[in-house]
Order: sequence, then structure tokens, then C-alpha cells
Amino acid sequence: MQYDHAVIGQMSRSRRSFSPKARHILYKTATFLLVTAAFVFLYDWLTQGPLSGILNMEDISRKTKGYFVPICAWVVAAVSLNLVVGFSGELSLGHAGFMSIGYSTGIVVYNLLTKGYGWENIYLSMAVTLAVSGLLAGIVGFLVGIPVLRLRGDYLAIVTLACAEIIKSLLQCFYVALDTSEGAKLLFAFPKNTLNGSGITMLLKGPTASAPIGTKGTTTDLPALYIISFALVILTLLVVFNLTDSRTGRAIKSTRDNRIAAESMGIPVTRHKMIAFVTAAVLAGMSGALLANKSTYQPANFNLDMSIMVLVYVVLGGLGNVMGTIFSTTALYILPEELRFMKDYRMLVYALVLIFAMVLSNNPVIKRWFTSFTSLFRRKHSITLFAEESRNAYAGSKDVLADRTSEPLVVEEEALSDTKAALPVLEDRVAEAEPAAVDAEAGIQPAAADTKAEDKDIFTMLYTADGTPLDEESMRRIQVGLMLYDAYGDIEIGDVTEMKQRKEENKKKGRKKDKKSGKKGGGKA
Amino acid sequence: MTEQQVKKVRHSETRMVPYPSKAIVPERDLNVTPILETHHLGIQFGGLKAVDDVNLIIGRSEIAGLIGPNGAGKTTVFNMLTKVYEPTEGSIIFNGKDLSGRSIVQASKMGIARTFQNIRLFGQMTVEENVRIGLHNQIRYTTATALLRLPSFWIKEHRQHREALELLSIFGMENMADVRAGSLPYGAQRRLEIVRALATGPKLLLLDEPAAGMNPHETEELMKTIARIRDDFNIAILLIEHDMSLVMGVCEGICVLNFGKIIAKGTAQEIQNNPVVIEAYLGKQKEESLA
Amino acid sequence: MDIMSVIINGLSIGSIYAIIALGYTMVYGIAKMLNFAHGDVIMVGAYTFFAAAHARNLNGPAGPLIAVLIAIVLCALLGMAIEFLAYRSLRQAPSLAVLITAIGVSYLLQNVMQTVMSLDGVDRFFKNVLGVVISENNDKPIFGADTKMITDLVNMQSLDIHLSETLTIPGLAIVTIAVNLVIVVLLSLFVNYTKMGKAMRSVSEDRSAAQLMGININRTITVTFAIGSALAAIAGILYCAFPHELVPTTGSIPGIKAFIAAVIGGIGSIPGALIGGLLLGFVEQLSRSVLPVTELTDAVVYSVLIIVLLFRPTGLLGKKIREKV
Repeated sequence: MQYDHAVIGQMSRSRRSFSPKARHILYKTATFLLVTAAFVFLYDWLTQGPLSGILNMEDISRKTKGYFVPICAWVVAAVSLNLVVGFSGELSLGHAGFMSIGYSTGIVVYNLLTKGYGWENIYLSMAVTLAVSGLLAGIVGFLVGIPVLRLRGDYLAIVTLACAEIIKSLLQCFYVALDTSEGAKLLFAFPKNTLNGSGITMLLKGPTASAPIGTKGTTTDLPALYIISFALVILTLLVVFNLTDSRTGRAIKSTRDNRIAAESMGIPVTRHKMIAFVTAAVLAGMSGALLANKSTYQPANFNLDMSIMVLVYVVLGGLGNVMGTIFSTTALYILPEELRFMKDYRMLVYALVLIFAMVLSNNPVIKRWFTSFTSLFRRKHSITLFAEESRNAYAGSKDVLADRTSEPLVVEEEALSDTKAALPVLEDRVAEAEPAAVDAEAGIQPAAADTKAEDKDIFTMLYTADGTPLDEESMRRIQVGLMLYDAYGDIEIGDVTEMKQRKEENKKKGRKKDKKSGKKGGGKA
Repeated sequence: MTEQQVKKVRHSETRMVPYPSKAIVPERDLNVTPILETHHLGIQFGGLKAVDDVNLIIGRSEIAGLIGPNGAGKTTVFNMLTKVYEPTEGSIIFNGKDLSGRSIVQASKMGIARTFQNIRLFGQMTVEENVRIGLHNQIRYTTATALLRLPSFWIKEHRQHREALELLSIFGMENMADVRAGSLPYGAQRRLEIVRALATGPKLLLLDEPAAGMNPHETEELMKTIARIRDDFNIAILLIEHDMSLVMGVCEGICVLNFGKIIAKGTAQEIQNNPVVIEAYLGKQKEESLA
Repeated sequence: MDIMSVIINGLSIGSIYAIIALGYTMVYGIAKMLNFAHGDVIMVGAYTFFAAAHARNLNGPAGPLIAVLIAIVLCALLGMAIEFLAYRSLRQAPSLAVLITAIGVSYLLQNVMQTVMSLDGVDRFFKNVLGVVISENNDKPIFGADTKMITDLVNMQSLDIHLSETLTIPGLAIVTIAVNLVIVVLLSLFVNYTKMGKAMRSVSEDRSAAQLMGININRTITVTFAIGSALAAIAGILYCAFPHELVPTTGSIPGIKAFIAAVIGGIGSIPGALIGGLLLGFVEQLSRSVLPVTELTDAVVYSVLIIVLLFRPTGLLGKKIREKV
């Protein structure tokens, strides 16, 4: 397939859209705004503040009250797992292990601070608790990372699973009590419970569930907890965004995409995977500590099932997609609570959702259908079609391009699979073609070199490197491709004659053509 | 190695010599430590000796070529130079330092960069991000700086951005900076790999079949670009290539490998007329020239 | 610590793990996927046996054996169905997608057994139409969340070997170990000497080359799943006879442990699965008898995996994967 050297200009005179960089900043800002808005609204509702007065909202139900804090905790857990799975490209099946450590540490530290040392400020106590829990989980994450991160793919997943099980197993034999008889002291026992005596409060009771923070002896600090949860989520977002959009983040992403290439560029792979892993562990630990408020768990609850649940949140939200993870976590947390019947069948529905989501999103037939379906609604992007471009871009059109080029959408060769779809469109286009626009049969007449920029339409902006117009054949191919993109949001680069031949053959075989009528006329004039 | 020793080695065996027609070239590299020397370099996989007794010397600003039939072991040599494989025999002296026992990352930091035969771009990242990966060890700041978004973060990021665009402009690719690397056409991907390798600030650039899949016009462009890169960046380049027009046109010294062993070394003229080389490529019957 | 009983129990449970591990290792080696749902096929096998063995018209000495056969056949069919419905369309998909689907199938099996199968209509079908009687007045559901035991069905005490007054090798242990050895031998013979076996080996080495040689990939993978699931059924019956209680989640823990055993031995290697399984079983029983607290047993067992992988990153008998650069 031979193309002449040319830089092909954009296709449609679409509205100016944002550059990828701008879009990303918008995305991040939107994520922050979303979380803040949710918090403000719910906090106001909780405290029956001014906003709920304006909106005339009734007192918040007890059940809904109890959503915000756990959802924030799970969001932090899911976003941190996304750091490992989505950005670092490693499957971790042991995330619950880090949450477990955070949970246990949270209970111990918070009780020590409040009951032991008599701290009264909930913000300070929780802040220290979160910090210590995160730190401890991070240390464990580092220790786990040492054997884990030198393995590849499936082996890494299994070892994370094994590590989480080891953590679970050890915590089930761990007993901690607070001795308030003379000052505050922590008593430890492993593996059997040898702690007894009056004046001590059992904090971690081995395999049985520990009392969550804040039930006895403290008032319901729900509004304060709301603020703390919100702060933790914002912290998580800051950490994840700042990490991934940086030199370190790029290095981490490169280790995901191609390990050997990353190493050859001088990037120590294990170290960067460790950064992602430990950061995720710290955040997971903090989320565990947050969960310790009001949720009752025993070490055995932080098992493979929980790790998988968080993984499901991540996968359904999109690998590497933070905002998506927030949505999926919230939805998958609330839905079983709200839909009574679903509670019993919850796992069944999860299972079916998982299977269908994976099968459908990876099935080539369905992918194609989806692409052609959404092209009807898709905004026209400016595209830059590449065809063995040379570095001698034609200067004349460059300014025009620079003005209008937004998201250059380049053809993905794998996406071009079927020419069958191309043929009916070609027919339609030819039928609908406006006289001033392109004509697939006759080819197109390129404009003279001195035509003013504004008068040039896309097809006239095609020149070779030394300024001579493109030959007809190339023009025709390019134009066909662009028209197909118009119809499908997808491109077929091929030979018109070839396609016509194939069409004839298909006709003979009597195959049903899928007639897809695209919208706009072909060839923007 | 002292200057005396260098001169001695240079005279005692067939070695890469600068292209004779450039008058300044012989002086250019002879008085300086060669950028790369390999002594009896070899590797054995199980019972198979993939590379055997390879001795190379490459001058500091030389464009050298490594050619040979398919399976001759050329990419294996590259892999050893970049420490993807550890040689089982012989040694590599890069810029005066021994490379044995070093890791891939260390080799890269010392100044060897490469492109890959099967393109290994970071497909999900953009073109600019790929180049910025190359700049990872050139323009640095700590993770803490990134997390806290300290001023040096913004300054260095901007510098990386500018550098990346400048490097991309060598091939005129600066307007594709935000395109996803995986969706570029083949030729552009190859070029991006070269840009990315250059971004690491190497002293020696290894190009593995840079002209693969290019038509004659593009190959000519590439030749000019390679020479320009050598001149502008003042580095040495070692190419593996099958396209003889490129090799003969731009390489100052050529080494021919077959079945893991060197069968000839010399300038383009010498190689073209070397019967052993012709036989290796074409078999005993044919006697067509390779030019 | 009674060393003999540790050894006997270790070999016994180890054999069960080995049988399950064989299923994992074959599917991984040939279809290149981790079939997370394998553990739950064990559970289905045990339930099928349970229901079939309690069927009224299967009385008599041959009853349990026929029930075993029914369980094997049904599980083989189940395995083939799962492969066809869930995994086949994901052959080209990234391995994360396949893993998640497998997890989905695993939960599906567990929950169907817990909820759907214990629905009134289904239950009555089994009791009235198929004649399954599980208790005196037969009012409890056959499947569903409450615990069942199959020890009365698998009474092997007649095979006990009494070595001394205090030491008896339970008949069940003998049968388990014997079954395991027979399976391993048969499977090795099958894989090495039959046409389908060779096809399986070639698919596991290079799928596209095998396809080019005219091997029907679909059929090969289907057979792999069928064999693996059939083995799972056997393992499920033996596992519950060990004894372990039978509930919808019975299969997950032995599934995970056997999976770890397969990885320890080197995933993709049949002798590796055997060694891994036996090793794991032995370590587990040893820890259980030596450690002060039983909860710590798991910590030891999983640590074995980490230790092995530290020294041999692809398992004891695993192949070293060289990446082409």
C-alpha cells in the first residue's frame, strides 16, 4: 500500500474541541468538583443545614446517613488498587490484606489515643490514626513487595493472594488489649490469648470481631467523620493524580506497557512497581482504618472475596480511570443496599455482571456493532490521517491545521477489520455527493498551489512534500477513508478498486449487506 | 586503555575505519578512547553458540554497521551490548568501563541506547510521553517533589516538554505529540523509537533495522537524518540493517556476521567486493555485487 | 506429634490437592488461563454425588459407584459448558479479563448452588422426579446453604489396614492415594502416547503452530476442560469424605490451596502438580500437628509458596520463560 508523502489535514470543520492535555486537566478538576459537591450536599443534608432547607429536604434517613463514610473508604481502597492494576499493570489479589492491617491498627491506635491518653479532638485522633495505619500498611506493603514484584503476571497475582492469606492468618492469632490501670499501656499476645485481668479492654481479639471505633464512650461524631472521610478521599485523589501525572507516574506506566523497553530506557522497573504498590498499600491501610468507624469486621472477613470485590469496582470503573472507579464503587455499594431482593442474590448478580461485562467488552462482533452504533452520536473529531508522512510537511496548510487541529484521531490499524461495512457507505456517499465535493468515481481535483487557505477544503490541502499535488489514486483512497470515518468513526484504508471487486463478489454470494445510512454528506466543502 | 594501546590495537587487526574520503575523520577518532570495544565477545545458549569471538572497535563519532544474513546473531550482539543478555564469554568495554555484571538500567545510564527490531513502544502512552520516558534520567526530580507539586516540578516538566518537542522535530513529528503511540503507522513508530532512544542522551546509539518497511525515498531521508544525528549530537551509531543502500551509504565501518562469527570487517567498498560476504548472503552460485 | 498419622493424612489430603491441581495445571498449560472456577466444580461434583447417591433407585452396593460416575460425567459436561459459554470468546482477550470472568463463573456456581438450586420448584423436581431422599421425612432442601456430610455414603472402613493396635491406616486414605496414583499414571500415559494427548501438548507449546498443523484447537481445549472437571468431581467426593462438610463454598479453600500447589510444582507440569499437591498436603498436616494454634497453619502453607517462588520463580518443575527481545 503506497501513499505519497503528505500531511493530510483534518476532515471536518467541527467545533473546536479541547486538546488531550486540556481534557485531562478538565477530567481531574471534574473529579474533584464531583467529590466536593457530593460531600457538601450530603453534609448539609446530614446537619440539616441551609442547602437542605432551600431544597426542602426531609431529615436524612438513618440508612442513607450510614453510606457516606463506608463509600469513601471503599473509594479510597478501589482507587488505590487502580494504581496497582490500572497504572502499574499488575494484578493484585491481596488488597484486602492491607485494608485489614489498617483496620486493626486503626482500632488499636484510636483507642490508645482516646481512651488511653484521653485525646478529645476527633480530628486530631483520626488524623494520627489514619497516618499510623497507613504507615504500617505501607511497611507491610514494602515487605510483601520484595518477593512479589520480581515475579511476572499470574505468579505475581497468586503471591499477592498468598500474602493476604498469611496476613489474615497472623491477625487471627493476634491479641491486643489496652491497660488503663496505671497510665496507658498496650498489651500484646500472640498466638494465644494470655491477656486477662480487670482494667483492661480487649481491642483486637484474635479471630473474633473487634469493636469498631466510636461505639462506647464517644458521642456520635458523624458530621466530623463525614469531614474526615471527605478529606481522605481528596488526599487520595491528590496523591494518585500527582503521582501518575509526573515523571514517576510515566515511568510506572511504562513498566506496564513494556517492561524490557522501560529498562532499556534506564528505568528501574522493580523500584517503580514498588512505588505504586506501597502507595496503594498506604492508602488501603487508611481506608481500612476509616472502615473501623462503625463497621464490624473480623480478620477472616478481609479475605479473597473482599479483594475481588474491590477488584470488581476497579475493573468496572475502568483501569486507570479514577472518576470511573468512584462511580462504580458508589453504585456497587449502594445498589445491593437499596434493592432488598438483591441482597440475597447480590453475589449472583455480581457474578453475572462480571461475566457479561468481560465477555461483551471483548467480543469482536459486539465491539464492531458498538462502534458503528455510537458513530451516529459521536461528535466529529478532527482527525489527522497519517500515511507515511514525511517531515517535509506542507507549510501552507500547516497554519490552517494548527488552528483547527484538536484531538488528532489516528487510525488504529487493528480497528480496521472488515471491508464489508465500507462498501454500502461508499455507495451512499457517491449517491449523495454534492457536486462541489468529492466524487469517488472521478477522483478529485486538487486546488492550485496559490489558492488561499480559507478557500481550501480538506481535500485540496493535500500536497506532496515538494508542493506538487497528490496523484489521484492516493487522493481517492484518502477520501474514501475519510468518508468512512465520517460514517463509522472508524476507518478502512484500502484500495477502492479492490473494495469494489470484493463488493461484487459479496453480491454474488448473496450476502446481506448491512446498510448503514450515515448522516452528513460526504466530503466537507 | 592508553593511547598507545589503542593505536596498537587499531593497527593489528581488521577494524572499523572511518570513511576514507572524509579527510578529517581519521584524526577525529583515533586519538580518543573508542566508545566501544568488545573482546572475544560470545554467548552460548545451551548447546548453541549464538555469538562467537566477536571483536569490535567503534570510534566515538563513527557510524558503523553490523550486517549479516538472518539469524546471524546481530540482535543478540545488541542484546549483549545493552545487557539484556549477559555474555558467557569475552568482555565489553564501553567508554573505558567494563560492562560485565552491569544491569540493563546501568548500561542505559552509562550511555547506550537502542531501538528494537520488533517495535517496543509504550503503546498506551502518547508520542510525547514516550519521548519523555527517554528523558527520565536526563531531567529529573523526586517523587516527593511530584506529590507536593513544588516549583521545581513545574520547571522541569516544562523543560521536558520543550526537549521532547525539540527531539521530535528531528523527524518532523512534533505535531503528533499527543497521539497515542500505539495507533501510529509503522514508519512513524520506528521513528519514534529512534527519538526516544536519543532522548536518553546516549554516547552510543544502537539502531536495530531502522529502515525496515521503508520505501527508497524514506530510506534516503533516514540516511540523511542518521548522519545529521551523528553530527548534531556528536555520538556514535551502530546499525543493524538489511537494506544495503542505507548501509553502504552511511556506514563508515561495517562488520559482517554469519552464524555468530565475524566473517569480514572493513569499509563499504571492501565489504561489497568481499567474496566471503557475497557467499554468505547469496550462496556460492551467484556472484552479483551487492551494490 | 504422631508422625505416622501426619504422613498418612498428609499423603491423603495431598493426593486430593494433587488431583485438583492437575485440573488447574492442564487448563493453564493448554488454554493458557487460570480457571478460578475449578475449585467450585469440586463442590458441584460433591453435591451431584450426594444427590445421586441418595436417589431411591440407586440402592445396593453399586449405588455409590454409579453415583460417582454420574458426578464425573456431569462435571465433565459442566466444564465443557463453562468453557464454551464463558471462556471461548475470550481467547484473544487480555488475561485480566479472562481471570475476572473466571472469578465471575466461580461466584456464579457458588451462588446458583446456594440460591437457585434450593428453590422450591427445583428441590421438588429432584425429590419427586429423580427420587432423591436425603432424610427421614425428606423435608430439608437437597442443595442450599445448610451443611451436608457424605461420610455415611463413603464408608471404606472395610479396607482399613491395621498395622498395630494403635495404628490404623484408614481405608479411605488408601483409596485416595491409590486413586491419585492411578490418575497420574493414566494421565501421563494419555498425554504422552495418545493422539489427543500429543495434540494437547503441542497446543500448550505453540497454539498457532498446532493450528497450522491441522489440530482442532477447540476440540483440544474442550477435552482439556472435560478431563480437568472430571478429575475435580473425583476430588470433590474424596475431599468431602475426608471428612469435610459440604456447603456451596466448600470448593473455594481446597481450590485455592490446590492452585497454590500447582504453582509450587510448576504450573503446566503434570508431575509438578503431583509433587506440589503432596508437598502442600504434607506441610499442612505437619503444621497442624506442630503449631500451637491451628489458624497459623495457613500462614505456613502459603509461605511455602513464597519461599519456593523466591528460589525458583516458575515453580519446582516449571519451565523458564525466555522473553524474545
